[in-house]
Amino acid sequence: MTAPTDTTTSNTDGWQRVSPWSVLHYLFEQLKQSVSIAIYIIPAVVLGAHNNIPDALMPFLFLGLGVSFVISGILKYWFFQFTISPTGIAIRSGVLDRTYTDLPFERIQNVKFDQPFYFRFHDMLVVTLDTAGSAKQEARFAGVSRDYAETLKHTVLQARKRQHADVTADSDTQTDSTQPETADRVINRRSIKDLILHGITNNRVWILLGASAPFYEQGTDWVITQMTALRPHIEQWFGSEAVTFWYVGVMTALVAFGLLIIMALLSVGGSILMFYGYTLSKRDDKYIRRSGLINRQEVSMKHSRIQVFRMQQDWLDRLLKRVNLYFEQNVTGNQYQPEMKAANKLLVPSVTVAEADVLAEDVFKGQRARSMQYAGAHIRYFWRLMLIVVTPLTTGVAAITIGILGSFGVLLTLAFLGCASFVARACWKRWGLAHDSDYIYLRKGAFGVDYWCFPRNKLQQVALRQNIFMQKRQLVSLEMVLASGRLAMPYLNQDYAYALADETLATIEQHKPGWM
Amino acid sequence: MQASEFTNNAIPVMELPGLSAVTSEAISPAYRRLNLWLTSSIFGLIAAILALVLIQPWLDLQAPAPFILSLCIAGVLFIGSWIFIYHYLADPLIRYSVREQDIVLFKGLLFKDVICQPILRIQHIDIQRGPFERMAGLATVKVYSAGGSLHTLAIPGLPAESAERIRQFVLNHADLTQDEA
Repeated sequence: MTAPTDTTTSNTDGWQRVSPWSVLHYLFEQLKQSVSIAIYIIPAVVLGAHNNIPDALMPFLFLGLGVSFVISGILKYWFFQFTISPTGIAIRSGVLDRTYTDLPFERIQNVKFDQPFYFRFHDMLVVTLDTAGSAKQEARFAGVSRDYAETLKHTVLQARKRQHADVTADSDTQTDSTQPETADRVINRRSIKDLILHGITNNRVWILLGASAPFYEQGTDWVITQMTALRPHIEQWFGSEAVTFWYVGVMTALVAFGLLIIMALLSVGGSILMFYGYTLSKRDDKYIRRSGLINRQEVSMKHSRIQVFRMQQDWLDRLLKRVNLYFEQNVTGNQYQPEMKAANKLLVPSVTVAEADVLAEDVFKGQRARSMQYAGAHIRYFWRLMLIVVTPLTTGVAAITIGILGSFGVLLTLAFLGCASFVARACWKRWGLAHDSDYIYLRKGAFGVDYWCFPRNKLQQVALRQNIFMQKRQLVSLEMVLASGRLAMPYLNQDYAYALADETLATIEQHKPGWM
Repeated sequence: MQASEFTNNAIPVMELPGLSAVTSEAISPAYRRLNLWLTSSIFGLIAAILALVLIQPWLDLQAPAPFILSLCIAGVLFIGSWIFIYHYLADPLIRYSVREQDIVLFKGLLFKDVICQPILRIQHIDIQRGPFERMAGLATVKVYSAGGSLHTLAIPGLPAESAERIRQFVLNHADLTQDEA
């Protein structure tokens, strides 16, 4: 491997340092930490604890803090050393608490690039190497030039490939492919318009109200007029106390609408911040996502690692004919990350249905998630929803509304029951499972629809669950565990579920396909 | 898979091994005994301590306290007896089957579960023995797949020797090294 040393200073014994600019990174990390600590200090300040410190000392306190940050940043930079051998990367880090990490290339699952805004000017990156083990075992290189980062990534990939290649393959032939890259092929881009749509649809209900903002004032006037017009009737029907309730209730609703509009705008902003300049590209067998307005982020995912795709559509997405497409790979280390940041999920935000199909086809050849005939859940699933979700909720609503409003509450309760049953029915209707010779498909949702599709070969474990009532009706819930998580289909016909499980297991056990 | 032993004969579907008709083995009856014993002693102990507080002669309890205490005792005994009944009925239903290619676990009283873990997909396997399990000569085999810790297949209440045998069988299984990347 050729180790370019343009941004790195090399020691005699092969240990290198990252660029001095990484001090900036440590500084910002430090700042971020102190801000989160500061939150806990706020109550103390409010209570006047700072009065115990003489005012004259305050500037020195801050100065001291700042200087200590800078010094610790420099020390961290100085003590972070790494060396690359033909088999892996070794890292020495830590100022007082020295740690030595040895990362063999084959253990590295994923190479991730981030570009925080303070690295923009020098086009430097933070490179994260994920390993299969726990989250603590990941390695971070802050302040690496783009060229070096690419070389590093390439080295890791090549080393992995060499490992997998037959022993007979001569390593000399590899040098050809070490030549920088068959260039990335961009397979999807997202425009600002797409991102605005994404921001809107991912805030769901809110936006319809936001769209009506221009008519808002007229609307409020109209509402107030109507309310006043109705007032005598209300007074007559329900007494004068109800009138206050009437005004307060409608006003609360209006304020809530206002808040929703603000939230929708925030959501659009967040979407642009996160996905600005979105490209999804393919290089060799990797999918690479690059996006971000302030912090550029790069996530790559190996094709064979993708366990499942998910086409997610809310009801609003369905109206606008957009799909959020997720590719999910195995969960490593830290499982609970926010959806958009998680390294195990690759999101293509708000693509059109046709684009989603093309991308999905690229990942799982021959998939027919949108055109399969799905076997639905048994009607008992609907009754179960009614019994254990809708009934308790309705009872609660009845207790509150009838308690406060008397007989008028009965109407509200009935209305609630109607809506809830409608939602429950939509939920039940949406469930569906289908399979063909290569894939298993799952459909769920209520007014929106989610399609999941995974190759039968990637199944990790199967569980069939039934309670005693289902047993009588020969129904069973099928749970399929993948490396990316669990998918479940409730209330299937027992024979179908067992046959599908048996057949899939038999194929896996017979042909022994890999899942990574 | 070696190319030389490749065959591709048609298999009648009815002859495929099915999960609905697996012959299974029961776990050790000592597991139920252990659970029943543990349940009764833990809940019995808590109830006894509460009862002692109630009847001790030194401290005079104020008006609602004795009532609340008796309520607590009743509650503890009630929950304890439910757990006792549950273990009494549910533990004998835990069965397992180690097949050539997979491990199947059957369990559940009101919710019946059949869980099948192909050996090919096992990441690692270990045996866990808590202090009470050790006393009873029992062990729990835990089988981890890439599906994450939530979906670990655990066979409890195995005689220590069977647990070790299952572990050895899985470790010696030819498929285990297949998936390693």
